[in-house]
Amino acid sequence: MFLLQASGNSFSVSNVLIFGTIGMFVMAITLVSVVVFHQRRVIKFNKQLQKMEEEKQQMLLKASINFQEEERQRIAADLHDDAGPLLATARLYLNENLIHQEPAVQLQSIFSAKQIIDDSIQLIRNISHSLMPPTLKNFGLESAMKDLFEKINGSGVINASARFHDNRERLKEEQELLVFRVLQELVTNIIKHSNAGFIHLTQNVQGNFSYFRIHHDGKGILQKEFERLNFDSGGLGLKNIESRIKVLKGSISFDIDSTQTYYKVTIEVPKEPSK
Amino acid sequence: MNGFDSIASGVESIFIILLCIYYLVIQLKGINNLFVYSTSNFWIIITFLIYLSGTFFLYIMAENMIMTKGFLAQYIVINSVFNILKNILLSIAMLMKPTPTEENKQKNEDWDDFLSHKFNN
Repeated sequence: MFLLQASGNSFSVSNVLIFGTIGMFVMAITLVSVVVFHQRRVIKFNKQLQKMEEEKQQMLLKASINFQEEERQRIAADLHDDAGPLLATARLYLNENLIHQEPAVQLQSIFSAKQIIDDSIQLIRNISHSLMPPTLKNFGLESAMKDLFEKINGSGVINASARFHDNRERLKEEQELLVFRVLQELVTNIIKHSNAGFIHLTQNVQGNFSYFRIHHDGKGILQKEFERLNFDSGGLGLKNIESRIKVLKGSISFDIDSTQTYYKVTIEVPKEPSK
Repeated sequence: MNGFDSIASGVESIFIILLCIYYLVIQLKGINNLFVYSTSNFWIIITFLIYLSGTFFLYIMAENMIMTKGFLAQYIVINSVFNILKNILLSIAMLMKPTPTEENKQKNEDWDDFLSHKFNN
């Protein structure tokens, strides 16, 4: 009303009405369009994210299945190629006993068979230990890692050491196994790819989290590279690390220290003490 | 028509328009996998918004100008147009299935192409 009075004769009433109505209508339509298009964009973006997440999950699942298959093949090969011939040979020696009745020959062949059976036992024990290290089950992660590092040190090529600062309370058995597998895979990768002279593992506890950090002086990878390799079709070991960390509900980070000399891998695991 | 109260209808329009804008802003901010135009609420809200925005100037001028011949003709045309638009939009809103509650909200797959809402159950 005030507007109309102020405008006086120069503005016709119908102009104000028409332009005002059109203006309000356009504003309302614009507002609705903005809401609709913005929401569509957000939903599409969310869908894309969801799809990417699903793809990643699929990849991890595939990697873990492949890993299982590889592990089975390795065990099958070990049993077939090593244990099989050894036992067959032992059987041959024992068969000899049935043919040769002379005590000296018999004794010799029994002794040989015994030695072969001892070898077979050792072989089967090795296979079993590689599946589930007994040190880990009986004495915990610290002993298992130190055991592993001792074997690595035995080669003389690389110097590996471990220091557990706060290991009064062991993690849950399943957690320990998962952490051990992750650390084992990381150490294997360092030995295989980094040309490192030393590997040092430290463990610490802060609040409800256990931290494991591996330092090495070789050529390592950084977080970005880890994520890239994780999305590639290769990198089965890294995918396994990622899926194990997911199961642990923890996190892993790859970085380099400020002097750009030592690469470090840090694993954060929520503590679930063993009962 | 002499008893038309422009101030009351103007204030009412502004109040309802603000409520509609508030609803739209909530929709904009909320994380929802359901396209907003697949719900009946949205169509009811935009009906109010468009109708009241379109007739806002008409109503605030009506009290003093309704006796003017030219204005009366414009009043009839504009009011009828927005009334028809309002009825069409309300019909669309009524054709929609009710907005799903938080519990039985389902993921939206192909709402781009459909106006109606399908429920699994």
